Amino acid sequence: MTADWIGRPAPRHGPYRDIESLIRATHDELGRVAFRCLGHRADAEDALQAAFVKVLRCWPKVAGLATSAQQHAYLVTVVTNETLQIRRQVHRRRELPAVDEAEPGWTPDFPGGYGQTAREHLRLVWQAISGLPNENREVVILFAAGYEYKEIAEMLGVAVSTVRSHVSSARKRLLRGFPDDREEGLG
Amino acid sequence: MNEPTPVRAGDALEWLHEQGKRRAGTAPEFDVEETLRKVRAVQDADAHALAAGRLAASSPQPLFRPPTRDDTVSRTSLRGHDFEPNPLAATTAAEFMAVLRDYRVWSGDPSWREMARRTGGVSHSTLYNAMNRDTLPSLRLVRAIVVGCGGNDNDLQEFSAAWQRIQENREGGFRLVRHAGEHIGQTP
Repeated sequence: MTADWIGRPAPRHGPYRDIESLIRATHDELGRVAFRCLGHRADAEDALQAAFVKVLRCWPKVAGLATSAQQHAYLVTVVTNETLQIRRQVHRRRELPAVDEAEPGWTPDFPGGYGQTAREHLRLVWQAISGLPNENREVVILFAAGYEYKEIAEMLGVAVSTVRSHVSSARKRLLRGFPDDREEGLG
Repeated sequence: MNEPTPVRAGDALEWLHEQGKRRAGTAPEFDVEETLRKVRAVQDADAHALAAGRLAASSPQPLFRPPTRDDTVSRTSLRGHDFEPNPLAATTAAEFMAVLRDYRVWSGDPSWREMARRTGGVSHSTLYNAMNRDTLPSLRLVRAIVVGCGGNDNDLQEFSAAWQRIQENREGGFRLVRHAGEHIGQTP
């Protein structure tokens, strides 16, 4: 069911030395991650390509990582960050996206209400997520994409307990309110 | 029921998680050749831009415009005392960077964006990153920082000379360093 990530062949050990073989090896799984995050074919493709362009620009750093697993984890982080960018662009481009368009698979049980209100709430939720500290953010984006702790841990090459603590600290931060409230000293 | 319930982002997280799960296994195929084409195109464009940048850097009038009169700081302060940091006293990259940071404070602690504006072509983050390291930045960047602090030609010359000396010393062993140290120590 959620076999998007688990079940891929065991990562080879040495790092990829050239960007083309890295792209060929990771393209499909990162495409699936981008789609899980965004739910839109075109948007996911944009995020995917933007992520690889970013990797190209910092190639010495990526090539310098010790194992291919670390390169994978780094790429997942880049992809999740790009999906946030795309989300921002989508909100700008589609002035008033239907909720089901902004969040495909939308069902009326969204806790934020209906129609216009839900749409605005959803935007605020994503705004709050992009305001999270880096280390929380990527984990939360993957969690919001429906991945389980175990899957996220495997993707990022960290312990399951680390993922759990990031999600729970992010949840606390998010519960504290949207960024607008935070400035009024609610902390 | 029609009243929208105030959503908290924390609740929404669970909701998004459920939504995301439904997308499992529905991802379309993405064309890897298309991605490779795009990445190669960017690579070519970057190479072009870099070549153009090199040309600009070696042209007689580099990126930076000379500081205007308003930008320059006063040479003396406190009845003729001048606390201007002296780059020529630095013998290592770390010392040089410390002097550069002092120089920025001395020149009135301009904001990074203000400095970037004065250089007319170097971004504030580049300046910030260069100055918060203890390794020697490129000469071009050092000159940009001095210009960004409103430095005059004399400052530029001194910082450039200090940079060159430290850069050469990196491989050249101790001789010049000791020489510079003695020179500074010879205060009668």
